[in-house]
Amino acid sequence: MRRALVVDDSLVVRNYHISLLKTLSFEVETAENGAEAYEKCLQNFYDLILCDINMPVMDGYRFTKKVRKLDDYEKVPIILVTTLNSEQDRKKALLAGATLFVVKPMNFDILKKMLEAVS
Amino acid sequence: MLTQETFDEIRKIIKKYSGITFEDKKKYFLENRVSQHMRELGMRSFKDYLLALRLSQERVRELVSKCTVNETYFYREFYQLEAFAEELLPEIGAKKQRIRVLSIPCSTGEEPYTIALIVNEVLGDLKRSKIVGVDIDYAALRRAEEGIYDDRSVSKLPDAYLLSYFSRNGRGWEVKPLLRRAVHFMEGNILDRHFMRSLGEFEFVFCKNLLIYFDAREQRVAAAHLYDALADDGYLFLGHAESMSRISSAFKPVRVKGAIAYQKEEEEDEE
Amino acid sequence: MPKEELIRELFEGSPKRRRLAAEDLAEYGDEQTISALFRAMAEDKNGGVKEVCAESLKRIGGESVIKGAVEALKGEDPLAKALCLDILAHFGEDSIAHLSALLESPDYNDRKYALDALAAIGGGKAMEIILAMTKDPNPNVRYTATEYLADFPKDPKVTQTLKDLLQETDDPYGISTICQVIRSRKEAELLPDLSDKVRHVTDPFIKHWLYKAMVALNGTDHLLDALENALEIRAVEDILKDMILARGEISPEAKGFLREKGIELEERLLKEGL
Repeated sequence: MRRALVVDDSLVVRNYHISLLKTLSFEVETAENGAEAYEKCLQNFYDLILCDINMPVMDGYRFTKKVRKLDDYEKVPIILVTTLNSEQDRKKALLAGATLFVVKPMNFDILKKMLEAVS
Repeated sequence: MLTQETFDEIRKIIKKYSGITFEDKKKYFLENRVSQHMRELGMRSFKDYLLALRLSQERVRELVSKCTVNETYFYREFYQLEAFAEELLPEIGAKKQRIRVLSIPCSTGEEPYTIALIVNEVLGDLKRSKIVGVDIDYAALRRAEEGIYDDRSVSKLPDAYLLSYFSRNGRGWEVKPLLRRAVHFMEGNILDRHFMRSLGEFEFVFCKNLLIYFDAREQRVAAAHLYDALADDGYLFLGHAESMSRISSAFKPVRVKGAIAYQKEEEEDEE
Repeated sequence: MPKEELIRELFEGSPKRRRLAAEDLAEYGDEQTISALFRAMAEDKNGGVKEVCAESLKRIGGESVIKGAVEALKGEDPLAKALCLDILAHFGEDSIAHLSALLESPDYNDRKYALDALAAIGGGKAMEIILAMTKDPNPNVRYTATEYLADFPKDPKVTQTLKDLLQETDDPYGISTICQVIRSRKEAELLPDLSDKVRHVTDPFIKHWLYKAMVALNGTDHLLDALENALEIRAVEDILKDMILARGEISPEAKGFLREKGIELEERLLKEGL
């Protein structure tokens, strides 16, 4: 069973994404911000990371940069999710090492397509 | 048995003294401890008991001692000790002359004695090291100083170590003088700034399953004290299910042989 | 050490010295100190130093600190932002008056930050404002406000607001948000509204959230419908968990359904009373 990590400071958003991912047969764990998420990545391996950009303590960009430095996370799909939709943010996300950049809210079809794209 | 009011009063006093928060669901637990204490003191009324707690720190200390959980075994959470023994201790041992280790809470002493054992095995002797065990439970500290343990406590220790470091007598397994001398036990509270500052700095700090007893504000205070107690290149270990990231950004987590340890975060990574 | 020297230390020198300087500056409460502490909190590269700055600012207190925290909320650094929220929460309702500029800002991000602050502050006054923000033109702000309603005590105004929101919302994310809040607040009064809504919806994901809320509120009418729908999107276990949480067990009806569909339950789910 594949494992996913959902990172977002909103409980409601985390639950929403958990539901989508479970439907796609993932086991899901969560973190509230980039710092917690990074720590979790040190302890466990995830096949997929879905991460909000704007979070307190540590944002999605910094988390992505840090986690990419870990050997086992060089190639893991990281999908950065944001409310902003600017070309600048997209570039920033990709430069940080994200695999995909998506504007929220997401729905099931979009998530499914994205996962197919990264598999 | 205990009214909500009395329960609230008592837990307020405990919190003030030790920082420990008792949630509502632990009421039955506290009730047991309180009745035990009252029996020992020959008291029958809660009113008198509360008065005794308010008038005497000693009584509060006794109650707290009854409430702290003292389940520790030698060689618990082995993967952390492995990281300590096989990677970090040699690394620091090569760099530094003095190796100072803090174990807080040290409870009945298993952890600091285990650490002393490992230091002896890895570095060859205990001459360069100073190991300090701290706890707020003075009864546990007295037992720690005695250094006598039952079969259950030492059950996870490899036989070779058991024979080298313990002698069996009528009362159980007694820690040999080599280890006993290496550990200093002190009574104190992690939330007490003055006390924590007086301990100085340590290359290694073990603070397992203590922070979970505190609320958010106290956790931050404790974290700040742990930060000050850690030498600049030192390592901090928390309990398996604990996470420093939730509490403070002053530390950075590092992976060491399957365990997580924390170091002081110096600078944020550059862009 | 005199104040000027401390401020100098705050920006130069090792992290240890910056930290100590930040700590010692709590003794001074003037504008220059406050401004320096905010600047260090925003710009210092060491998390520990930022944290100590925040602690010192809390100790100094006063309007300047509150104003400074509101201002700094708009800054770029996520840790500084988190620390500002903490400072504002520390001063409670006194902070609220200073949030008006953010609340009225044309930039929806500012309005969101104001909401984060209100949620951290809590209390009746904050709740009133959050309620009003559920009508914000921007959906991100609206849903954030809705989510924050979860933490406040029972209130007919909140129930009515949720009722209205439920009626007006049609997107999966919005419905999911509203249903989660209804469920966490145990708004059993809204069972008929949920029931009604599910009749007018076709997307199984949206239905799933509505059914989840109904099951969690211990509504008995729709258990089988909930399971049927969940089957379509492979979320049966989810509904069963909600059922166990609400009534302590899987109802005989549900068991019958599972048998009928040939669904095997994992042992752990049966034991997992949660």
